[in-house]
Amino acid sequence: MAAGGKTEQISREFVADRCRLMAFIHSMVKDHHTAEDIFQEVWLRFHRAIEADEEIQDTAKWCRGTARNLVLHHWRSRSRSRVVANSELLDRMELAFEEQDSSREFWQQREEALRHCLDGLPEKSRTVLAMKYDSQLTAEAVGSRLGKSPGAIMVMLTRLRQALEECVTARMQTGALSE
Amino acid sequence: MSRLTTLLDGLTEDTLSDAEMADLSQLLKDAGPRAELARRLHTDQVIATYFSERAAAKETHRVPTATSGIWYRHISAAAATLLAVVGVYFLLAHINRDGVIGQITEVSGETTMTTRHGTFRPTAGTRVTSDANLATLDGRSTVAMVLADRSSMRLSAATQARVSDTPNGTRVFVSHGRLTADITRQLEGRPMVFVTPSAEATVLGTKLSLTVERDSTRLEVVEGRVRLTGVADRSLFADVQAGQYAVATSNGVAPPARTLPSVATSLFRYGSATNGGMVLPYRYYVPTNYYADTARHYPMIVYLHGIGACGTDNEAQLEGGRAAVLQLLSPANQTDQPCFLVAPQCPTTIGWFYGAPHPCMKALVDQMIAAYPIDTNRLYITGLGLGGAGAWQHAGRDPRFATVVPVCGSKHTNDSAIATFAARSVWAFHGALDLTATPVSGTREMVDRIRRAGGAVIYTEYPALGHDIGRTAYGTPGLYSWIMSQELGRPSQGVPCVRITAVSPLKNSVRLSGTAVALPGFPITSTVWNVGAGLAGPTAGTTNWTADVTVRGDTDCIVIVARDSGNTTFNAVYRRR
Repeated sequence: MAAGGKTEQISREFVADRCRLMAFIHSMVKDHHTAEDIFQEVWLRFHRAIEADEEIQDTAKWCRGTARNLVLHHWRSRSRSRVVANSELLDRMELAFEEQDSSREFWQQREEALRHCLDGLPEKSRTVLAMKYDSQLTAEAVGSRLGKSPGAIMVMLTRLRQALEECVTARMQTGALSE
Repeated sequence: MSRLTTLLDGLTEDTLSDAEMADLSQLLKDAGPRAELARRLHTDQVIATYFSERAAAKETHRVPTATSGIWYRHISAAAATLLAVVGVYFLLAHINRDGVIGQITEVSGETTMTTRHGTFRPTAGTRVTSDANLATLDGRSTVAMVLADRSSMRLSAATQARVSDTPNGTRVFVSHGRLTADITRQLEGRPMVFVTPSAEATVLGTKLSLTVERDSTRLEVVEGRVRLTGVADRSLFADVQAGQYAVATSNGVAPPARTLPSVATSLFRYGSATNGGMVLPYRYYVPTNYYADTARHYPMIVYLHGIGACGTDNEAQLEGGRAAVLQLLSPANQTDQPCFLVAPQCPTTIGWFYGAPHPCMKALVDQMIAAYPIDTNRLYITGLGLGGAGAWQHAGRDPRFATVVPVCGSKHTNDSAIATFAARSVWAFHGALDLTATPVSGTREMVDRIRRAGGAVIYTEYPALGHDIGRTAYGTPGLYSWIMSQELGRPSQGVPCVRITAVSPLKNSVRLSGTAVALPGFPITSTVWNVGAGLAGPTAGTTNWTADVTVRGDTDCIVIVARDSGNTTFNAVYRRR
């Protein structure tokens, strides 16, 4: 394969797995902007590595390893104690993703199914999810806007996620994706 | 609602306490919860992306930014290049004002920055102006910075450096200490030059490490190529390639030599062990795809660094010459016999053992065994210098280690430990010219005592080398496969070795015969017998040998020692009682 073709293919792999990499980064760096910064830094380093002909056998693993070190660097620059407390958790979270690497197609299908399920949610539920996930409001802030307690919002979010999980499972089992 | 769901909700909300984090970490030891975590985080991310995209689509005039959540769908290799260029331009535009050439990204310990405005303590975010002088003071301090072109540098403890922006390119003056750098590609005709009292290193774009002593400069190149020129005579230089190092002194520049380890330290994960309020940070290497075979258990090497890497940054133990042990993790070795390697960092210069083992060492080993599929019969310990001494001492106190490989370690005088070493496998290394606090006499004494106690020891002594033998020792052909063949409770396996195959007790003597097998390429030069008290003699034959040894009533054992052309001795012992 020509060098350019190889680069393009590896880049495509990177983009295709973007969701899971962001999920990994986001789980440990709650601030959306910081997570995006780290994601972009991973991308830049990844691109540099390809340009330098560095041998990358497993794109997802390489990117996750780089992201993990950037997350640790981020923690370290903010609070040293957090690094010590959470590095083990981070390792296990990385392992959780690593264990799923072999079923990338499954995750892409799952993402598609989840999007379908989100399309089908009632407007009220979509509003709550948008406030939580896009506007990044706390349960308390969402509650105050909707006139509900934070606890009620938490319960609502848990039920919504559960409903989405059931919808995704059903959709994937019935092969709706292949229609 | 299950405990796991509650904790995952807390993770999403970012409300987990440290105790809950630890709780979640415990639950994630099992594969089931890990799979649920992966599903949950995937769901969260898809929902976030879904709504972010819809919000972005409504704002059609909005320029995609880092937080738009939509740009990634259109990204391509070309766009990424553009992104990189824009990123650097952005950094340049915002940073290169008023002589500002970079920014401090991380500081730990006592660090000072001196500019024309005076001397002060920098913090993360402090801007670095041209000609600013940076100094790390105490034994644990480090400072890292990024330059406008995204090159980054890190000063280790007790290092002084000044960065200047000149019309001919960036100049980094390092008066003493240790500096590591990741340099982006420099403009043609404007190379970055590292200037030390004894040399200049000209860089066009690379990763490198410089160690500046009073009268020498050691350059290690990880990526790219660097020209190292001696200051005394500029006609003398060496082009140092990736994977090589070279040393410049007042006499010139030695030719580049030896390949660096091929395992990137970035692959090492971070961990910490605690005990009684003490914390021992460590880094560890996990074999690729170790989880693929759920029934398989892997050996683990514990590596204890030397005195120069003491600190708490959890980085220094794997940098520069201290990373010599990583040669054991070469791709060939890891393909053939994968293993875990854990490298703790000793927080103070007291050492790994001060009257008692470091209190967190046991916890560290326990932690790794609990978290990963480690073969508990194949735990090995090694160390360099201070760590070599630590390897003797910890192995002496912790019977779980099957093998000890001390490099330039001092002696361990505990008699009971000597007996335990005799029952385990040992390969020791030392330089005959070592004049440090861990002289060669200590290792010689240890080897002799273990052999007299009935143990089989392999000992390599380099007659022309001093303390700096890490790369040579860990690069010994056959060392890794020898380590991997050892198992707790079994006699030393593999080669080099001496075997006694026949014993014939006579009236006042014993006739022993056997074989000696050396590593390929290192023929055996001599084989001798030794009964102590200065009584020794050559055997008949070397590879296949026979020894007629006169014994007295008080002769406990006969030691047969073979020597190969690489100055390695190895032995077998016949015990009379």
